[in-house]
Amino acid sequence: MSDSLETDVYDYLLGQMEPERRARFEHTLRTNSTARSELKLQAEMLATFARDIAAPESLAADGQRRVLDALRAETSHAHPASHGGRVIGLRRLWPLAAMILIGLNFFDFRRPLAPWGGGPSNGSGERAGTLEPSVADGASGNAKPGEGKASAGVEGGKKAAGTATADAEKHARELEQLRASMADLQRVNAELRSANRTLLERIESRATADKVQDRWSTMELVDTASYAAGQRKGLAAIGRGILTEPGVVVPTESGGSAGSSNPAGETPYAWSVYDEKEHRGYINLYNLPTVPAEDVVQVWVRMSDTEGYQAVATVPIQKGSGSTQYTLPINAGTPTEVLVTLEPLYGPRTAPTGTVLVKGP
Amino acid sequence: MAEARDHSFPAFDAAALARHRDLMARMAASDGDALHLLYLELGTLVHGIARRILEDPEDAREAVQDTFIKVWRNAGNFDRERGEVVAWVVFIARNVAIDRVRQGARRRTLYESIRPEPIEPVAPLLGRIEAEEEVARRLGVLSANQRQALELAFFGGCTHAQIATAMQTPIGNVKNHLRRGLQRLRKLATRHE
Repeated sequence: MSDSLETDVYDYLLGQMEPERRARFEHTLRTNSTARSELKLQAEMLATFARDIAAPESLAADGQRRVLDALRAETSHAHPASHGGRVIGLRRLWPLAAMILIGLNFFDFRRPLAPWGGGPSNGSGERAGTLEPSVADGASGNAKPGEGKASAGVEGGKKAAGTATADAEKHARELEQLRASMADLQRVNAELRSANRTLLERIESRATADKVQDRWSTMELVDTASYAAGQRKGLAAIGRGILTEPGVVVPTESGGSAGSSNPAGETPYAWSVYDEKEHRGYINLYNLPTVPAEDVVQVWVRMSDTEGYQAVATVPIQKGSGSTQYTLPINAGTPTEVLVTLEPLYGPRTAPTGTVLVKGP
Repeated sequence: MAEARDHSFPAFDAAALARHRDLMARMAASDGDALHLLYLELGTLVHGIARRILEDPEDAREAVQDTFIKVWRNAGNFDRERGEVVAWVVFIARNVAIDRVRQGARRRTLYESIRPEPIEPVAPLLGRIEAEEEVARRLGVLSANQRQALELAFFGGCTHAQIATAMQTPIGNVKNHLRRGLQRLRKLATRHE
């Protein structure tokens, strides 16, 4: 990899290219796969660096709501996906509906009256023969000769029939167009209703979750040997410690909380609390071994509806102890398992591969 | 030149990356639900970056909003060959926040909370650890100068000259810090591949 390409990619990513140089480099990116690969590598390296430094942070509830409202407003102008090559934008829905209604009314207004008698009006008030309403059939008019005026009525009827035929065909085409437009409207309406229903269900599930007050789930995590032996300290002892010194649980010499004993001695230990309302987990770790500079303590969770573990947070360790918190997406459930391992600092975090420090429940 | 590799994004598993790509494809087809889902996945990450750059929480909130609106409007331009969705979103967030600073928003002072003396090792507290403490511990592979230069470049949007002024060192040193810091990050990223 040439230094100049690395430098160009770095300058490009951080917006430090002059317009001319940027334009040339964008041409390079379009035509050079090596440049694109280098761009991808540096982008992901720097994004990882940024994520490690700027820890994920939730917006306040009000701020979150405002952002969601803004995003909803932005996407409400979206054009639905096309079907069979015909696309109807949301902005054109109402005018299109109005056109259809007006068209239908106009069609109804222009529909010829049913014939009373034959021949053109001759001053006596009698009407010429006209078409029947069933224009789709392309029915031609049949003028009915009036009494005592047969010949004049037939002549007038023939002329009227010719005009009526042209009108019928025209009306037939208009009706077909309107029917097609109506079908499109109905299809779009069905799509909108479906999307609306999905959104409402999501809002309802969120509202249901919000109604749950102060639901916390707790979990003990122990080293693998204690895990296999089923040894636990007991969350009651931890709770006692929290009640006496809120927010702080001081490990004893043996590694357990005050007033309890840890059968596993000074082995790694942790306890975890998950706030199901805020979708936030907290974990405190004790008695951890020294963490090499190139490694990191990684927290993983497994959800009830997934098979693998998901990396959620790393833990800074000082003198064998550390704590952290993590936030899961709103639609995620409650973790059913928590795992803490030692992983490479900048290695891939697709699955736990390093030494297991503690796991639970 | 090194072989081109498909590097996975370390902070997210393969399923999450695939999910992001799927959401991006849906957004390109004007599926508004996909934007909301992507926000639920990456909103906290974007907000963390915005808060790292912007002092005022309201500025940061608006930066988050602008980021995802920009993602929506440019979904059709996303190119996986140039990086995963997360990386693309991170850079959009970074650029949006820096633009706000240039338009007058208050910049968050980098390294404002770093204490030269070590924190007393009392029992771990239930609560949030200061971001600078996590940086100091996780980024031990980078020298202080390398880390500072990278932070000024990424979060501050600083040019080499501006970094040199901030660090009170020649521009040549700044370029060395950045190059070596990136080499260190590259080495760690590819160590287990």
